Amino acid sequence: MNKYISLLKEQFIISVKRASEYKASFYSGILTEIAYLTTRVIFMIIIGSLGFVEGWQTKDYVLFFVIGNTFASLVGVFTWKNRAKYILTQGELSRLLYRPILPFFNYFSLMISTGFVFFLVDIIIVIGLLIYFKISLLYFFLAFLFLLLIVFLAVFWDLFLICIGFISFGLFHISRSYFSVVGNFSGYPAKMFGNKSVRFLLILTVEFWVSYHVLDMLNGDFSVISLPLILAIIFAIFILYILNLLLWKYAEKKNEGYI
Amino acid sequence: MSLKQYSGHFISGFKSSIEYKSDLIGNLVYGIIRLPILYLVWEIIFPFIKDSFFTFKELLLYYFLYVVISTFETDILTHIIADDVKEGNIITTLIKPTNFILLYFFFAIGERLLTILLTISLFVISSIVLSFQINYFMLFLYLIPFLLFNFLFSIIKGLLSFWFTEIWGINSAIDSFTNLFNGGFIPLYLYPLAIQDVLKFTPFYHEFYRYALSVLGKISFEQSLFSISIIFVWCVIFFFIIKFMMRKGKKKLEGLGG
Repeated sequence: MNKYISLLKEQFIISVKRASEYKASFYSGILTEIAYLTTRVIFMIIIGSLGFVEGWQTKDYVLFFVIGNTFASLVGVFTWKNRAKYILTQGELSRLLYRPILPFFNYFSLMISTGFVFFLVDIIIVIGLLIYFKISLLYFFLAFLFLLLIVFLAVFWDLFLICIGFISFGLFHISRSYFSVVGNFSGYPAKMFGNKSVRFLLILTVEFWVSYHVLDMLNGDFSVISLPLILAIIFAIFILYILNLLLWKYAEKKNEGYI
Repeated sequence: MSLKQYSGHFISGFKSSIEYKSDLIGNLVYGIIRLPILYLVWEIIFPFIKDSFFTFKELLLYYFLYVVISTFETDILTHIIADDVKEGNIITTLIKPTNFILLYFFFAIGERLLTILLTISLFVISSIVLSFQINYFMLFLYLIPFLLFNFLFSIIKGLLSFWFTEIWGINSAIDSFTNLFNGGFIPLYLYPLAIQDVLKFTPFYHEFYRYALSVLGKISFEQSLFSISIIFVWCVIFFFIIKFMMRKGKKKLEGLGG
């Protein structure tokens, strides 16, 4: 167990050092994040003023987007999709297989990207907004714990979709189309889609849970959290974990990389 | 000036667009994927818009046009120029007895030609099949200032790399704001009136939003011509900005070797 923890620690330190070393890229990333958040928040304010989600005020649209984006960034930290492409196409898979550690875990730790630093920037903005809107930080902390569970679910789901590329590269292209569609939809509150099938596309994203439950939690309504729900999420994570391990076992046999 | 000396760059740009077929197909597919998503989203939002300037069909056509027109943008030039400046390769461009703006211009036209032809054909065929009421004359007339504006704007963004090591953040920040100001995110008539009034003084208002209104027949021919002239005025301003940036930027350039 110790080697797993120390591997994660090392990868985290490398990602922070990488971010601080390439300062131009680091500042560029922060600028991109701030510009993206600013423009999308303006978009949310304008769209939100139309009032198409029942019971939502403008601040709900803003909080939905900023919190959803923050936790989606956290999911992105562990699912570096462009890197996954190189792992699949340029034989980088071999590097993960020969180490005396579970290949899936090795991959998981390698995915820790500099995006972690930007998650920290986002979370500072979220806390600033919560203070501005006079929302209890305790409620946010409790919602944060719930969202961490959802982040795990989303990470294992995304990794599964990336790893099915081991079976065939065509499947990887289908996964990328799925990510593109979900990425476009998740910028809007899932609540606005009512009973449409779009909800099923979004159910494994953090934005879905922010739209449906986290905003209620910020107002002190934790009634949605129940033991069956938590157990169902943990069960889904477990199943996805097993599926990921199976895909890695398959990749191990199929791989033709030379070291 | 002989156009012959630039034809090589035009062909080089055209060949690179043919060579990277997956990028071409990827961009088209990405655009096509976005259309049903935008349809679903605006189908929900539209009933909440009071006194809409567009009908629902026009709104869909507006976004269809946006998806088509955004494939014309010459953003690749920004990255090429930025890399050339960062790696010092711009020196080889500058010592040539050619005008570097024209050189990049012909490369960009060649690189975009196939995409423009494909997307315009797709748009025109869809419009005929679905009987959309659009102004084809304005679609082609406005295209020239639109391309010129985008081309010069891409060069300005690329030249920023004389002062910043990495410009991808600045470029992406500028793109985010441009999309907000030119009506790419949401049609500008949904903005508060005060913001619309301010945006009228920016080039972005005339760049895509007025282009779309002209093609949809929502503004008169004279109003369209006014917007086109505003864009040309901005192109002249951009041209002088590029000249100024090059003069200042060359002093910062430290190219060695031969």
